[in-house]
Amino acid sequence: MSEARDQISSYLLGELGPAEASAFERQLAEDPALRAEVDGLRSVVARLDELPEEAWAPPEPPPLQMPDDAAGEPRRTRRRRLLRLPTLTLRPAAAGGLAALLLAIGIAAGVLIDSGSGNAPASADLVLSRIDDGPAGAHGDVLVAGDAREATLELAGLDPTGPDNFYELWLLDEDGRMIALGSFPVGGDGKAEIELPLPVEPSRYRYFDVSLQEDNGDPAHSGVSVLRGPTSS
Amino acid sequence: MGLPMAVDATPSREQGRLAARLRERDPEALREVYERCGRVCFGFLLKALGDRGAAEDVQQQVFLEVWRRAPAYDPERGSLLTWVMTIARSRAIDHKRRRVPEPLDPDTAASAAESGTTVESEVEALAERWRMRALLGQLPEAESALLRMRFYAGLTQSEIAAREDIPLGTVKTRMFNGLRRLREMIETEDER
Repeated sequence: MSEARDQISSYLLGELGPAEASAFERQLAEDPALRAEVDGLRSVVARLDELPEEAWAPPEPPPLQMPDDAAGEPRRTRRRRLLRLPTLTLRPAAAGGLAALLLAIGIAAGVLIDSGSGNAPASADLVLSRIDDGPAGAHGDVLVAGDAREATLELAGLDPTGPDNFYELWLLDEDGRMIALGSFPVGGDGKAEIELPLPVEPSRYRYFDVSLQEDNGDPAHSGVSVLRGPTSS
Repeated sequence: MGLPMAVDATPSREQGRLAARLRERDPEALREVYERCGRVCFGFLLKALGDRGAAEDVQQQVFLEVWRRAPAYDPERGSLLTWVMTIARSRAIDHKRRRVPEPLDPDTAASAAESGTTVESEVEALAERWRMRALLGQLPEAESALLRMRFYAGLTQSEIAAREDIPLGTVKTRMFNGLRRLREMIETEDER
């Protein structure tokens, strides 16, 4: 029973080898109940596959404006420090070209600031250095929690954002893989402190990268990197 | 096959109590609804309207309507989040239709009518996808986190097991339970 259940998820997710898949399909042909279960779950998997990338990390909504006839003192909704969550996630195919260009420009600087190798240790404090389009004096660091599920980003010396742009934190690799971790504004003091969840272990990528993005609806990396640092110390 | 029923897709008592407080005109209940549904609703509106300012305006309209229509909301007919998303879908369609210029001649009128149909179907399809996102939010954390790792971060079940330092069998069980719970939530909502 348990084995069948385990095989269902592996089959639907395409994680069975050819021989295992064939054997499971023979089992499906002989077992109407199993077939019905798999068919029912197949549509769920399809829906999850179709989910827009931004749906996995919806943006922070504006504060609620209480209706006039609602009693009580209006209270602003609690704003998290991460103001606008990722608009782009794993899109290697779409982002590959841009990433290649981005990395071609920034790789030299990235290598220069990549002082180590190996996996990120527990509670790693990682330095981000200015590159390419970053303003003079821009600097920051990423504190990755011991379990690699959360990180705190502290930045300073950045140009303030306006209504039409924002900064975005990425994990990226030389081969074009990249994943957006979250976006945020920067005020007049040029500083930002952001806490954010990590959907993947940072050591799976080579760099943390901070880009300046135009708020034009395009979720791709803008190609304008201002800070970058290795994912391992 | 006899697979065990591992999930329960019935509406939570907590949601029923929240709905009751809304009907009783408790402003704190509206704030709680916003905490629960505001993010997904805004994400949908932003995607549907493609303009942050417009999405913020419509978001306020949606929750004003939630407040005003609260006495008519029946939790037996759908979850709170589904109800909010239904309102959001309607307001998004209204907003997009208002942006279609008034027809000046029969040809333009036909084109505008067709455009209106397209707008509606596009928003409907988008709303359906975001409804799935809303249901995901109702899963137990262990299951939703696992589905996120699989479908958002693209990790295999083996990679998830290694990352989370849990047995592969546990990952597969949670994956199955999460998928099955989602399916039952969808069926429950569709039957209402």
